[in-house]
Amino acid sequence: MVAHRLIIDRPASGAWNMAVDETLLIDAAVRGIATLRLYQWSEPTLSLGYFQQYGDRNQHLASRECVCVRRQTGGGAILHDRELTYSLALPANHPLARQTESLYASVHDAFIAALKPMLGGEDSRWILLRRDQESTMSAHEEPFLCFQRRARGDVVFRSRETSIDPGDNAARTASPDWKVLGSAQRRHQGAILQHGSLLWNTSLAAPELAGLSESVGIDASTDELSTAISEAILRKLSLHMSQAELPPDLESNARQLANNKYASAAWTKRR
Amino acid sequence: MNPDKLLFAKTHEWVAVVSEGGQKIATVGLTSFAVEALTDLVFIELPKIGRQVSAEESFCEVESVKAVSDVYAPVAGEVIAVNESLPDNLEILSRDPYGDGWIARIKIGDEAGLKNLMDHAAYQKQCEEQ
Repeated sequence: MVAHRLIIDRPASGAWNMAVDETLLIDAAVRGIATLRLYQWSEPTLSLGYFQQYGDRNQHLASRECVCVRRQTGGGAILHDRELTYSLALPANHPLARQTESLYASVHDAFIAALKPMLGGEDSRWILLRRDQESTMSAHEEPFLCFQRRARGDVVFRSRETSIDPGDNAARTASPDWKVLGSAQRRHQGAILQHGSLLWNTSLAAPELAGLSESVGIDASTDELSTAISEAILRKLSLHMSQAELPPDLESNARQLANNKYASAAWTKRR
Repeated sequence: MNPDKLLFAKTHEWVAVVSEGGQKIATVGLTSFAVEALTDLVFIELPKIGRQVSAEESFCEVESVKAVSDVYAPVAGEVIAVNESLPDNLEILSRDPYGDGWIARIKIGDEAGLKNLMDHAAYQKQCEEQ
């Protein structure tokens, strides 16, 4: 029997958000407790993937003045601003803890299930889907920003309408995809943390990325969105969770991690 | 290397122990089971030479597509060599996990930890149960 908790958090700093996620991963590994957490960011924050070079942030001019934090998960950089972020920590005895691709797909399918009714159902002019193709780029060729990368399992949206290829008037091509949800994972002693971002509205610090809400005209509050998405994830993963606060002992652990690790230049600029 | 002659940690590292000048040296790598489970590897961060490690301590990290995973030191001791060719040639890990895909060599400081490792048959049984 896996114990579970659901945390719907207030907006917080990047160092705190990353520290809480790491604390929940350790808690899943040590005490076997699964946690689903939904959260936001108190200021526009650039998060780097664990293996990214700090100096590469200079490639992205629009976010140069933003606070930067390094994640413990892989993938590309994310500008967290007008988005909803989730994290899911599962202990080693959960079946999906070992099937990392299935976990990725399951959570992303839950997002699609929650968002589809907001798009207008089957009659919508928009399609929301999970990519089934892997990236064709090598790791060193990938764009700096996660939302400009395309990996298997990412959630993208596109218009149902085809468009005329500007290079060839006779050719009709499918409209382009916009990525709106990407996730990344970290394993620790058999437990797994998966967290990811739903790009809801365009940020001034990443104006090249289209948000789902304003692009397709969804009118939903953050609370409505959090509720719909958490319910869909719990349903999809057959988890039964009660809403809870972060326990005081974990809050203390997270505070130490935030101060000593995620807020430190030694961590953020470690490579 | 023949896996039948190796020892294995429950966290999917293999160990080959040899005696050199009166010291026991462990060559360490990831098993083929682990490499397949990790799928496409994109980055590796090797341990620093000279680092003292404890048994079961994370001493190396790998990223596969988007998942970062720890590699644990199967024995306690000092890291005396790392496979510098791996970061730019990660395909070696899947092509030859028990040979050219070795990760590090550790001068064993405490042989007691060797007792916690499995032989190949016991490790295969563990993999079948996962």
